[in-house]
Amino acid sequence: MRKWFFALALAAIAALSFRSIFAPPSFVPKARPQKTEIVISAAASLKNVLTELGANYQKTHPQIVLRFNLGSSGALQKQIEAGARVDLFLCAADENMDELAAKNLILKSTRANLARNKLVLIVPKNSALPIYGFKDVALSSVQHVAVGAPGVPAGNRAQEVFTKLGIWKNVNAKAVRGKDVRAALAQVEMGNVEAGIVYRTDALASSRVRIVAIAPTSLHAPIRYPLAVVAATQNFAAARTFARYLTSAQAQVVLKNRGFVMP
Amino acid sequence: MFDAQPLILSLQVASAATPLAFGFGILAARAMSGRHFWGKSVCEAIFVLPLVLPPVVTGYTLLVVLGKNGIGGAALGKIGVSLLFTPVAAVLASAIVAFPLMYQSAKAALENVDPHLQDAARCLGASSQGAFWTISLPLARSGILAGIVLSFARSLGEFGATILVAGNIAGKTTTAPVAIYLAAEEGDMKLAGILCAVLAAANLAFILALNKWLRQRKNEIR
Repeated sequence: MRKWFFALALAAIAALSFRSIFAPPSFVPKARPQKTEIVISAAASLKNVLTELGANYQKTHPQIVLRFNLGSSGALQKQIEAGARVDLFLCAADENMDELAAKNLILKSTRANLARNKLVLIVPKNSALPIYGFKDVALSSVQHVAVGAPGVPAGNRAQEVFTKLGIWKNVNAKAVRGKDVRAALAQVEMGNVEAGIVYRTDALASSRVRIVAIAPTSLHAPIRYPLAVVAATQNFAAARTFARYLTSAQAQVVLKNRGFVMP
Repeated sequence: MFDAQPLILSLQVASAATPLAFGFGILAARAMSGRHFWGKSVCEAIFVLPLVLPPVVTGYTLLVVLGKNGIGGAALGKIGVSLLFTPVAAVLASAIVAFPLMYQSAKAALENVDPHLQDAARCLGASSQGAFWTISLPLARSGILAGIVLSFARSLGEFGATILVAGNIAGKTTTAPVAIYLAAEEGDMKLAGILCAVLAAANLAFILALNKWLRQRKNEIR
């Protein structure tokens, strides 16, 4: 009895998984309109705003399916260099786009700037430590500080700021390097680090952190989000249309509301 | 310049995690072998859980417990100790992930020891403890050594739990697997390749040495 039950359960699981892997035509809903799927590799700091913009866009373009691949700009750049099937690239630093442009991996004529951002120092909302500026990160009461890893633009900019302030050596020894800027934000939200360096928009999106200082732009390279259609795209028209929407006045309002600065 | 620091740290972490896994593994195996009690199978399943769960789950649980607002973290914080983002956290993560390997090997080995030998020792006046440590344990040494080697190798390569609780502080908590992940993300294929090759070679050497030792022991017994 029991043996049969297990055999049946196994067969059912196998059948179900086969169904989802090799969905035969009969399972697919009828009358399926032709949909175009575009893959957008975007810097992690754009997560919330792209979700909103994507939802807005899809209301007027139901035939387009947007797939977001979020990560650190450095990692996304390497994925494209390795031949990942991506249609549109949005990163948080000019360097990443410049390097892809030098290798002719993006369509230079489609390159545009989406927005700018600011680098901020944040602490957990209920923090009582005397942290008022970037220099205070060197204090011994700050045991750990969340900073993006090398290759994460927010991490590179933070390193520039601390280097100019002359405290990078001290800070580096206690910097917990996150895989992208959102990982650094999460460490501060959980209260596991005393401070963190993220973008202003990341900090504004979280109710569990507090901004204590904004880095003077004289201390780091500008934080700009360039976008471009990837050269290997199979969906050029759809990718360019969405890229144009992102830089339209309509989309800029959404970006502004989320704390981004106009390019 | 090739930075060997992550490799050295991984070796240190594995060297510290293995005795931990060994101690707890042996104690657990002793408590479990040849004994029957209500809920034993559930207990055993929990012991083996870190082996079958994704290490990230183990790491996340540890992060929640050890975090500043977690149960363990808050208690430790009162006495001024913070384990998160320290090499000690990496050791704990590795030890927990390696524990099932030690436990399984030790338990299987202990169960293979003829129980009459222990009974004979007891008849001759040995205490239950004494009979275990002087008779059963030495007789089970092949299996236990296998457990130690597997635990060490597993600790050396621990990634998922480690990156969550030990973080990634350059020169302090960046272990070899974490360094490989970051190098791969940054596209530094040379560094990733070297580290991968060293780890693979080290683990291969351990397994070969273990197998050779086990073969020799088999011949001795014959």
